[in-house]
Amino acid sequence: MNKCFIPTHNYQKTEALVEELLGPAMNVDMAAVIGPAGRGKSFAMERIFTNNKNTTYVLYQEKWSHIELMREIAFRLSGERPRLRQACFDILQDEIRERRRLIIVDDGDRMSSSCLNVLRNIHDILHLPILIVGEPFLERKIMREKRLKSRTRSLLFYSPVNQADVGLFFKQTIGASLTPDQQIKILKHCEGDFRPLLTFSVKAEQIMKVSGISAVTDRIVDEICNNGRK
Amino acid sequence: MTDRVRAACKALDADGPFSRKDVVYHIDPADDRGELSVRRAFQGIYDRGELVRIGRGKYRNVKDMAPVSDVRQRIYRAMHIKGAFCAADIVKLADADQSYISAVIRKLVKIGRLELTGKAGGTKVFRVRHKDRFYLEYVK
Repeated sequence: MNKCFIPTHNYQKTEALVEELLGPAMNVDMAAVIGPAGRGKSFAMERIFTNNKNTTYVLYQEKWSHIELMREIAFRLSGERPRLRQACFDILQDEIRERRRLIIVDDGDRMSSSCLNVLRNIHDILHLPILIVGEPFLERKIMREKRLKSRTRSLLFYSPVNQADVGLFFKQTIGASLTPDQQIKILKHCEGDFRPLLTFSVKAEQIMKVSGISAVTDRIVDEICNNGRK
Repeated sequence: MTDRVRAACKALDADGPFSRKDVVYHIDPADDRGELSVRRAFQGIYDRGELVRIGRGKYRNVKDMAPVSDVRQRIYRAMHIKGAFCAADIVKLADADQSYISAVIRKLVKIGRLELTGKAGGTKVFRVRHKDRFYLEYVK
């Protein structure tokens, strides 16, 4: 199976949002990317971090306190993890003089309110753009506090994978063309997520290899959709 | 600040061994807090092994600080973010040529920055040995 990247419409929207946030500061430079698990949010962020030097990526770890989050951001920007909160701010202030960077915080829906407010402080005091990524619960957390809500420039919702994405994915990964009917069936089976699509293509490739056929047939699609049940 | 101290060390190293005070004078911070910040960053760089102490209060640079190409930078960033990966994962993230990525991986394995963790279906899986160190040396 050929591992390749599909620039989906969600990814393109995220890229545009990142460019917008890295533009001139407007003091409303917080944004959030929201979507259920499996839609490709984290992968999109990893790719943006890889290709854009002006971004920094922090993966929020369960039960981090606001100080631990600040230390990690300080380390990503300066290479140091000071113990005290004020030292973190001083270091960040020194660092951003040279280059303005976007801070991407993944798994933001698991963050406590104090962690979200630390990000707000960084945004307000240092005028750094912040992009929080998380599952739908994040929206409720942001909307609960007016301070956060008013600073959020945009909420980008990850829409489900569409029919065109399914067709392109199969073409590029296993080199198989699908009929529109097959695409619809697979889309229904995957419920709009990328991970089930990936496992579907792995299973399809295995069946094709074993039976010695080079195209995805309706029978293969039905068998995988029904999990081998008649 | 760390980048400024690193750049100062590089500039001073061209004229021979230098002291911590030379670095402070070279950067010329505005106030005491700035000076403290320079000293702290210098200590951090020394602790990470980028500088070597050759005599009383005298240091030299040991790290090659030549700028890396954009593609290689992307490969390093992809390796850092993945943690454990195969060459195809890096191709997907960094849009680089697989043979070039394999060459970079071989070089990093040889100097001990990456290690082979196993094989999955004929694909070699590697892991970054010290995540923070790798980030500071190759990504930041």
